[in-house]
Amino acid sequence: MSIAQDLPVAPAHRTARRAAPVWWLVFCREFVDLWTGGRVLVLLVLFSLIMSVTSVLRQLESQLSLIPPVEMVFLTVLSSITFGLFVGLVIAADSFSGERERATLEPLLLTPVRPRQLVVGKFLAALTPWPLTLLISVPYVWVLGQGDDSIPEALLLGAMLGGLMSIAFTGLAMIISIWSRSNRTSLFASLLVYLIFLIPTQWPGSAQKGDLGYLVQQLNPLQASSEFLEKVVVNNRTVAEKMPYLMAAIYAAGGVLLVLMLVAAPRLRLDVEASRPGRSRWHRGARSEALAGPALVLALLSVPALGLGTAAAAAPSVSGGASGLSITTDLAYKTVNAGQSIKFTTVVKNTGSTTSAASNVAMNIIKTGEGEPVDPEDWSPERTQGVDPLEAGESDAQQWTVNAILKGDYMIYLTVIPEPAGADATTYPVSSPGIHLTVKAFEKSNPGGVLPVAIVTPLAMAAIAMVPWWRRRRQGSAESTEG
Amino acid sequence: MTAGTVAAPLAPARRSAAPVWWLVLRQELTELWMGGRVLTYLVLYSLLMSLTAFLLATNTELNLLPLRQNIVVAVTSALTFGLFIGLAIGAESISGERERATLEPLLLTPCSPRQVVAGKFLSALSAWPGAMLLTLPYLVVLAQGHTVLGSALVWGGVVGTLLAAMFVGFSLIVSIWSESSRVSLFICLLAYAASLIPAQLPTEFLRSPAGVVLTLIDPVESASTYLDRTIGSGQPLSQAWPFLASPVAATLLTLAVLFGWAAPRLRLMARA
Repeated sequence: MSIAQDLPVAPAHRTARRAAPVWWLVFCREFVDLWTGGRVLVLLVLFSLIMSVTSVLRQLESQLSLIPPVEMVFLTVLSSITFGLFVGLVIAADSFSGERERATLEPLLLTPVRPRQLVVGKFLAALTPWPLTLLISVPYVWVLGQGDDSIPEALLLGAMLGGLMSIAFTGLAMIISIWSRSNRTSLFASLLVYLIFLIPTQWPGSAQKGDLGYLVQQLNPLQASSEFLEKVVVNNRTVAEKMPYLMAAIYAAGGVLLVLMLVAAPRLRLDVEASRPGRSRWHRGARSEALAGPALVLALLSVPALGLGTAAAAAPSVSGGASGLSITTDLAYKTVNAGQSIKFTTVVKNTGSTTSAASNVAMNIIKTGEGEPVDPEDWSPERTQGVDPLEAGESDAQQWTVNAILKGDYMIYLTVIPEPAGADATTYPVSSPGIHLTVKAFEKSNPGGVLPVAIVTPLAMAAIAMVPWWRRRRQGSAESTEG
Repeated sequence: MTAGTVAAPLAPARRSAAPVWWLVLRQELTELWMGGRVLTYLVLYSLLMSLTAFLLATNTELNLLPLRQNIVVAVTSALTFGLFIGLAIGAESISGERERATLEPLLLTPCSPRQVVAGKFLSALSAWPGAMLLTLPYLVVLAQGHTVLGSALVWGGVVGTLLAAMFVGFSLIVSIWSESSRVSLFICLLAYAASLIPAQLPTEFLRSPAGVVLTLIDPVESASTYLDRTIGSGQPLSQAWPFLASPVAATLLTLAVLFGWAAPRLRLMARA
């Protein structure tokens, strides 16, 4: 960047240039450099290539498993956010450390530029690729979504979430760039952070459930954005219902902006010396803070789960209506801790006078209050069980197991669905009385005895990592004493 | 690498004492491990593994995932995090030194580029056993005495070593070609991120013929599927081997390109 030539250096020019603030000049210069220099364009070509490849794969997948258009819309918008962030991240990671290495920031020392104005200009310029990446995504969304009604809403939410994520990740990369000694370090650290946020999305869906799983999802802005977008666009949940996930993105963007403008920007060093080891007070301070490390004191207390289960008498049966089938359960209500399993038995009885048709018993779980919807597949290894035709008065028993995953109030009910006699006939499903399940919070702080290992291993590793630093420091002090 | 240390024993009188690759390896190992760079990566690695292990242990308590699946996720996470270390070291090893002009003194010595690359390759690979060793306590605790621990350690070790060799080899090839460490690092991390993309695709697609082909093309996804089948489902090698073939082939190809083609073309000086 050769912004110095545009800035009000000499007093004679100051009056002429007063109209445009410094951050605007920096922004204009950066904008021109980024876009006419071809760097953003190369990244956008890469972006469109990745979008094309993933779109083709998704289209193949859609033809195989008939993914609804609304889900395709969601997946495509999500891809555009995930890959679009990358462009701003790479540009921001190079913004200060790269220029410092090339000594192109030094001329600014001769000008009355405030570091914060410089940061604002560069930050806004690094954000400029995001609107275009969103624009590039529109045709992909339109084609894959087959003109679905959800497209405008998905694009609107995508623009909002993508904007927030762009602010968060671009700002983060810029903070790293301000602090880094070299361009290599800032690029590496920025991409590392990006990958750390991306990797949890690799885990199977079941590994991200439970209170802790949902907490991790909310703490990771990438996952939180994905969850928000999916639930609002695909599952028709309201924005208010999924607000905690949106707030994660807002907090991430706001927090990064605050650190960037209030902490990092005022400490920006423009000279090359700042990038050299041992020259910068800022870097020395940061290094010593990092080496001192935060004191990691976590309680090793394990709170054993308390057995709170109390079973009630069997619930009354429900009449089978036209099918003559009835279903009863041996449990009416139970209170358990998250992590515990409950077992119960249902009995299907033919109360009619003729042999019943073969039927299926299906289990469902409904959350009675507010909160995460229940995915019964997470809660039970078996959702349905078959029942052979029953003679008049005959009955058949089924055993069920339900794993309590999340705290809350739930109703479990089972439905007997007799097979229809043919294509032009139907039957009357019969439901059992509800089983009221109250699940208390998961209270184990040391699940599976993993906590000691989870704490001791990084601590031991950190202690080992301190040895070379300690040796270098000793050598350094010995040399200075000799000197 | 401080070239002086390598160059000194290459004086004619002592040339036969130790092969050049060994001297390079020793020097690199000292700098990487005693310099604290690998140790810093391993601290970060252990933090990530701690978080993952805690989450997985909670999942076991909640019956969300069967124990075998939990172990697969733990081993796959260890691979994903662990491979990153070798990749980052390899990406910087040649291009970074060329930038700092610390390779130039080697021009005065009769060492062959292939030997320099071999030494650097082995030293960058040295982080993986350290990562695997750190993974051991996590796996022991998560396995809760289950026999799956044995196959997790064996196959995790084998597949991890294959992928580590592939990633380190790839990063060295990129580093040999790149003019700056920034470029090599960017390309390597981009390739690393790209190798993780297929895992984002839904299971239905990955089970289709196109998905299987994609899995077999991507060594990371293929290795992950192999671990899922052997550790998670207890399949024997005779059934799951096609998914092991991909990482083996990719590793051999990468090493062939590295030592047969890229290493002899290694430039020690930066372009003017």
